[in-house]
Order: sequence, then structure tokens, then C-alpha cells
Amino acid sequence: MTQLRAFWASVRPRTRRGALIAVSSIVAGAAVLSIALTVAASMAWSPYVTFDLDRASNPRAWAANELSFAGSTTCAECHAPQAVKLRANPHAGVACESCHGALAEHAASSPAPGSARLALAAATNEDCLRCHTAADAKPATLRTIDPWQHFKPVCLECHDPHTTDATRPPVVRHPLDDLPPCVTCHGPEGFKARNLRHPDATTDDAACLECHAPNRGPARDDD
Amino acid sequence: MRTPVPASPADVATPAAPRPVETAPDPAALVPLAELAPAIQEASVSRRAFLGFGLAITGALAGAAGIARLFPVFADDAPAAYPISSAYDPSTKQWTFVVDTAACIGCGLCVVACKEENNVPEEAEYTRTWVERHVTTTDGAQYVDAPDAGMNGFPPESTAPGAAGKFVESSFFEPRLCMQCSESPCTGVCPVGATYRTADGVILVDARRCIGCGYCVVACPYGARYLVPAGPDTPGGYAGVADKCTWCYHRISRGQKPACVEICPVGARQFGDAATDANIQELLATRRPLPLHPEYGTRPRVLYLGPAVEEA
Repeated sequence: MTQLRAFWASVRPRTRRGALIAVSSIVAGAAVLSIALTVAASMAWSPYVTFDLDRASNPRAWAANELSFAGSTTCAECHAPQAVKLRANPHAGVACESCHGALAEHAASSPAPGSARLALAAATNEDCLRCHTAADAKPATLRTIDPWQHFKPVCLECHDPHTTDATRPPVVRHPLDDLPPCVTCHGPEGFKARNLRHPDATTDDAACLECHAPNRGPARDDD
Repeated sequence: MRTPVPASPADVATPAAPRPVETAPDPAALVPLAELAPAIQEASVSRRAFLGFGLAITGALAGAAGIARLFPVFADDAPAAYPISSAYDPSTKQWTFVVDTAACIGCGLCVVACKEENNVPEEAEYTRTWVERHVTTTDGAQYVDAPDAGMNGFPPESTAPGAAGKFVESSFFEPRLCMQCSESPCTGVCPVGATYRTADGVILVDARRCIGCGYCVVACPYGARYLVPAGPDTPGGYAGVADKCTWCYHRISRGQKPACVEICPVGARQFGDAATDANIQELLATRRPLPLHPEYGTRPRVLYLGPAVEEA
């Protein structure tokens, strides 16, 4: 304690000016230290932290992520005919990759025209039905179907997804001399009550299946 | 890190002697105060020196704090212009996201595309975006369902408990995502400053800083965040960290639209720079989209059109 007192007595400011200098030098020292530490921290180095404090590196890292979807504009650069066809039809708002899947890798590889056929995942019923299955909350402007009442089970057999043109189901005209019994189709609840989708397997609709193969649509007169 | 702290020299110098039993001091051993007075005088610091010394320390600390204020490295909630690339200046962007709930058909392609684009786990419970179906039945009850976050589309009728068999009065789909709030609770509660807002207003998560405490997940009134599960697809190997919609930061910073906007077949999701994008400007001016739940007070930057904001 005596030593401490002696030390203090030797260093303590004797005058007002001395005190001012002492205080100023302490403040200045603190300032220099805090600037040094702040600069060190902003330079992603600090004795107190072991991780990267550089904030700018994180948004850059997010921004550097790879794309999966190329975007319809990119698709149209090569596939102009298909894009033009699509844009002139009710499916105009649908992006290429909505149905064809993420294709940024394909776009980035820039295959020469005709060099290699792109193995597109064929559009499946699910691609169509995801949008066009009737359900509560679907906007009235959207054309929807009940898949179990629809004419054929394979969408693309009749519908062109690019133009949305559809081959209308042929009108069933049974030749009079070859007419199945009326009750084959017209049950007590009427024709509409029947499942319009043709049976996939031999069922009790054997009368139909005598003439019509499953999933092939109605027979024509000349079949 | 968890190794025991080695004993300091002071500890070594005083071996673990048994602590002496405390007993009442012997009155005869006490030195009268008057005899101690010169010693106390000897050891004392003058009042002036004491006050001066204290003032100097206070001044130094205050000065250091003031100077640290000038350099906002440690300030977590202030948007700062983090340079992204020479082609992208975030400080010039006024990104605006508009969702039209009258147009949405509930196909769920946005949810699928988001998972594909952002390496979001395949399970429905981990998602950056989702679609809800809001149904009001004729008895006035309201039901919300989002089977598998909407990623597989929607069955014909609401799957919400109690909704089955009721007649529907009105219904709409409501796509949801991070609202990129201007007054974001998530950035406020993060104890380590791992989630922050960039100059373009997009809120990001620095996975290197995130400690996975989940405060932000529960702080978000819109339920937009989740914790990344451990698994082979864990992005960057950071399991347990918070993740959320970034408005596809890697796409918008390259001039592309977010994947969900790109993929939406009916244009129910619109995105653009309110400063330059004519489409967005027209939407804002003529259709006046509104935020969902403005009463939360977070000033969301995703705006809605259609029944979601007209009826609510």
C-alpha cells in the first residue's frame, strides 16, 4: 500500500494543466484503442472473435447461389417457335419450366441446335391435373375437370398443352343394326350418372368392352 | 474450449489449506481506531485526486463508446449497403412483391419450385413458402387448410378439421412467404445478429453466426421461418440454423425474378423494382395492394390483392 501511494504521489498531476493532460491522454488512448479494434473487426480479424465478422460476405454468398430455373425469357432465346406458340394461347402466362421442370443447367450448357435432344421429362397427367382438377377456391375463370368423370385418362392424347387445342371426343354413333341394349348405357339414373371414363379393365361393362378396347376411346363406325 | 482453466500463479502460491474456522474476534487483539488514524491517513488518496481519477476513467469509457458509435460494425439492425457485385447495387432497389389471391389456383408449383431452387428440405414442414386455402362455409365458419404446405396441390374439399361436408360460401387460396418486414421482429430478437436486413430490404440469415436458438422462428408473426434439419441436403452443412425466404436473393441480384414468381402459371405472384418496373408501378397505383395483418405493426413488404385483404 505504501508503494502504491508512493507511485501515485510520483505520477499524480500537480497542476490543473497536468490533470487536463492526463485526462486527455487517457481519453485519446481509449479512442485509439477502440478505433484499432473496430478497424480490426471490420477487416474480419480480431483477437476476440474467431468467426468472420465481415457482413458483406454473407449477402454475397447468398447472391452467389446457383440458379435452378433459367426463366422463360432464357428459354425463348433458343426455343422461339414454341415460345411464340405458347404466348398466343390461353397458356400464355405459364412458364416453360412450370411443366418442363428446372432447366438452368440445360440453358447454361447452351447445346447447339439439333445437337442433342433434350430429354425432357414428358408432361404427365399430374402436371395438368395439379392446376385443372376441380377444387374449392379455384377461380371461376380456370377451366377445371373432375378426373374421374373426364373422357380419357391421358390428358395429352387429346390436348396440346402449348396451344391448349383439344381433340374433341368423337360423338358415339352406334350403327342401328349393331346397337347394344339401351340399358347398357342408360341405366335408371340416366347416362350422365355413369362413369364417363372408360374402364381400364374388364368389368361388368362387358357389353362396352366387346366393341371398345380400354383407354382407346369409342370405336368408329368403320372399326 | 471446454478444457479446465489452469490454476493461476496466485492459486498455486496458496495451497489448498483448510479454511480456518470462523470465530468471534478476540476483543483484546483489536487495535483502537485512534491508533490506526495515521495509517489510514497515510493510505488515503485526496478527494481531488480520487474525483479526478474517476472522471478520467469515465471520460475514457464514454469517449470509447462514442467513437465505437461512429463505426456501425457492431450495430445489427441498421440496413447497410453491402456491396454484392459490380452489377448489383442493393441501395438502389425498391423490391416489391405483390400476391394476387384472386388469381391463385392453388397448384402449389411455387412451393415445389422454391424447394428446387433453394435446396429446401423435401418434407412439407420445412418450407420457405406455402399456400393456404381459406374457406368460409354457409354457416359462417372459417377453415384454413394447407395439406403438405400446398406442394402437391389441393384436394377438392378443405381438409381442415370440421370442414368436411359443409357447403362453401366463399373460398380463396393465399400464397404465403416471408414478408421482408420493414419493422422486422426477427432481426430485433436475434441475440447474435445473425439475421439482418440488406440495403434492398431483403432480410437474410448468416448461417455462420446463427446459433439456432429459434427466437426468430417464434418471433415471426407470419410463421415464415424454420430451423434447417440435419441431413444430407443441409445447405452449407449448417444444420439447426434458421432459414427463410430470401426472395431468391441469388436471382434478383442477377436481374431474374424469384423462382416462385417465375414458375407461377397464372401470375398470382408479381415481383419487381417499384422504382423502375412499370408492371409493379401500375399494380401499386391502380389496384392498391395491402399487407396481410397490418395490425402486427411489422410493415410487411409483401402486398396482397384479392379476397385475402378484401374480406379479412
